[in-house]
Formats: sequence, C-alpha cells, structure tokens
Amino acid sequence: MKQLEPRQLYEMYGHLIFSRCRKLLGCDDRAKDGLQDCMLKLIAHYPKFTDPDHVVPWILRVVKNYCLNDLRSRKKFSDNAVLERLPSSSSTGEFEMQDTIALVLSCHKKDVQDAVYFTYIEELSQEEIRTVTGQSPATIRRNLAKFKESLPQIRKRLGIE
Amino acid sequence: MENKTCVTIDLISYSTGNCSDSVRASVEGHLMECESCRTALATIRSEQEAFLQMMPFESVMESSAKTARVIPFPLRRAVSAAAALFVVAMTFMQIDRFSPDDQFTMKGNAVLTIVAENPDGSVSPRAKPIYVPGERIQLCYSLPCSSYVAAVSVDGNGVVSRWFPSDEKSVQVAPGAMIPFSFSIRLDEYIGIEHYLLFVSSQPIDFTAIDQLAIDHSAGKPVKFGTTGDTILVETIQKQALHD
Ligand SMILES: [Zn+2]
Repeated sequence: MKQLEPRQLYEMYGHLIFSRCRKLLGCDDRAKDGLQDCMLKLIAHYPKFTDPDHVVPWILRVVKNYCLNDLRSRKKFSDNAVLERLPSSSSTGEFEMQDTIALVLSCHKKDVQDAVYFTYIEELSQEEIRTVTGQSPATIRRNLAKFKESLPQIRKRLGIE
Repeated sequence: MENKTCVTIDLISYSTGNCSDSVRASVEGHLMECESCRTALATIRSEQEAFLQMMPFESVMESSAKTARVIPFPLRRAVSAAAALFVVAMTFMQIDRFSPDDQFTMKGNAVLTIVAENPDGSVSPRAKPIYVPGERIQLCYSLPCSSYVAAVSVDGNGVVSRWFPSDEKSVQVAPGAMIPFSFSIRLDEYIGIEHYLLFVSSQPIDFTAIDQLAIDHSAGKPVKFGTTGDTILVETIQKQALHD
C-alpha cells in the first residue's frame, strides 16, 4: 500500500474526523482537539494498514473512542452540564441526538455501546457495523434489543424522560 | 441512503480517493443508479472542500505548537500537535525530509515537548501527561534560533536531575522543530508531580545556580534567568502507580 504523508492523510481524512467530533462534542474547539488527537493516531498507525478500505472503519472506531472518552472526562454523563453542551437540534431519527449520546455513554457494556453508537449515531447498516466492530448482525440486533429494554430506566436516571 | 446496496463506509472511502479498486468499481456502479448516494457524495465533497479552506493542515496541526505553554496539571491538553506530528512522521518518513525549510519548522517561540511511546508502539505527546514508573519518555525542543540549552527535572520532593548537557560545559544547539535530545528518560519510582525544565539562553548557561532556579521556577516563584529573550520552559507530568 502506498504510504502517505501527514498532509495527504489530513486532506483525505481530516474532514471525516472533524465532522464526527463536532457532531458528538458539539463544540468546534473540542472537535479540533479531537481532530488533532485522531490525526496523530492515524499518522502513527497508517503504515500498518494493508488495505486502504480498512482506514475508514478504523477511523470511525478511533473517533468514537476519543469522543466518548472526552465526554466522560468532562464530567459524569449524568451531569446536565454535559447534556447542555451537546447539539440538541439534530436527531438520529428514533431519538434526539443529545439523548442518544447520553444514553450511549450510560451503556457500560462495550458491545451494546458499539451497536447503539454505530446504528444511531453513525447510521451504518448491520453489515457495515460488522466491518467496524466485528459483531454479527444477530449480535447487533440482540445488543440493540438490550439497549431498548434498558432505555426507560436510563432515561429516568438521566432525567431526560 | 436507503437503497439496500448503499454502503456508507465505501462511499466515504471512495470520497477520500484512497480505496481499493473493487470498492471504487462497486461505488461507481452504484452511483450510476442511486440518486441519494450521488447527492451524499456531492455533499461530502463540498463539505470537505469547505473544511480544508476553513481549517487547512497548517492551522490545525501547527496552531497548537505556537500556543503550547505551561498549563497547570491536570488542565493541560495535548502538547504541540504539529511537533508530535513531526516525531511520529519521522518514524516512517525519510530522515532527509527533516530540513529547516520544511513546513513544520517553528517560527515562533521555543517549545519543550515530552513524547512517550504509546501501547501501539507509536510515539507522541500524551493527551494527558500521566505516566507510570518505568515508562520511557523523550524530551524534544523546538527553537527559533541557535541557543544554549540545559534540561533538568525537579520532582515534588525538590530532587533535581540534570539531563543535558552531561557535564557543566554549556552547549549551544541549532534551531529547528521537535529535535529530540539524544537520550530518553526511564521514569523512576517516584509517584507524584514532576517538572521538566528547559533553560534557553543566548549566552552560555551558568550551572552553579541552575538547580535552585529549577526548584524555584517549578514551584512558581519568580526567578531571574539570563537576559532579555532567555526563557525557562516547563512541562509538568503526573506519575501514578500502575494500578491507581
Ligand atoms: Zn446509494
């Protein structure tokens, strides 16, 4: 695979990273931090890729981890201050974006969190989620069902009923 | 993209121009018959163009280097991204690209950066300056002009370690961006805050007073060092027990 320089990687993938970070973090400054952080990881990791098609799934995982950690580190997810800073206008269809992110953060099981995140926030198909996370469609459906079951409880706990 | 054969990830890969021939062929085939993916691709491309105009490479990967400064732990954010970029890049780029005219060259102030190895083997500044004993770190400096430098560290007990130069003969080093010192530091068992200081001076450094200067400066006391333009840079790290 052809090696690329930092600038080329930035021009190819910077927008993908930034747009995800901004959507999740709801603030340009924080999104820029995320962009820098994830770009550095990409630059370091890039020589290890053997297939260019693996890059985007890898980025989606790295950005997800970064953003969720960032949101968590600000304050506990249950703190309304965090919720207020998230974008509220956008919607993931089934849930308000703000709620969805808070709910994703409140998931302690990584598998469930991944299934929810890539379904509702990235809006990927189950086949694509398999590419990104390795979960089979059946596992994804099971994890989404678990999430929906716990939804009323989580919403109540977060005070976003 | 509701069409069953719409594949978001492939479309994104395709939009970057960096994808396999099979993805390119399948996306191009799909685009012929899918209006919503054509629209999605046009949107990605125009957003990408706007992004690069608004946030060009330099402004993002260099801006934090210019503003890198000492921020009290634990509020400090990632140090010098551009600088890190350089070190990371050097691990797989030809070393002869490292020239003063390179786009990464520092034009602003002197900067001290600590980089460390990550679990994946990459080397970069830590987003949070938290380390455990036994880890290896590397000090890097960026200087706008030739300067005499001295690197020391002070731990929370006031214990000073001198790292550069190896004796008390003041050494002048050339300007450049993210130049790693020729040694790395294996962190000792001390748990707590540790300050790494880089003295930068236009004149040879007097080592008789340097330990006290380091202790006072890292404690936040006002110190007098050198002449106008001379500076003491500090990076503070937190050392934690492995299972904290
Ligand atoms: Zn389509």
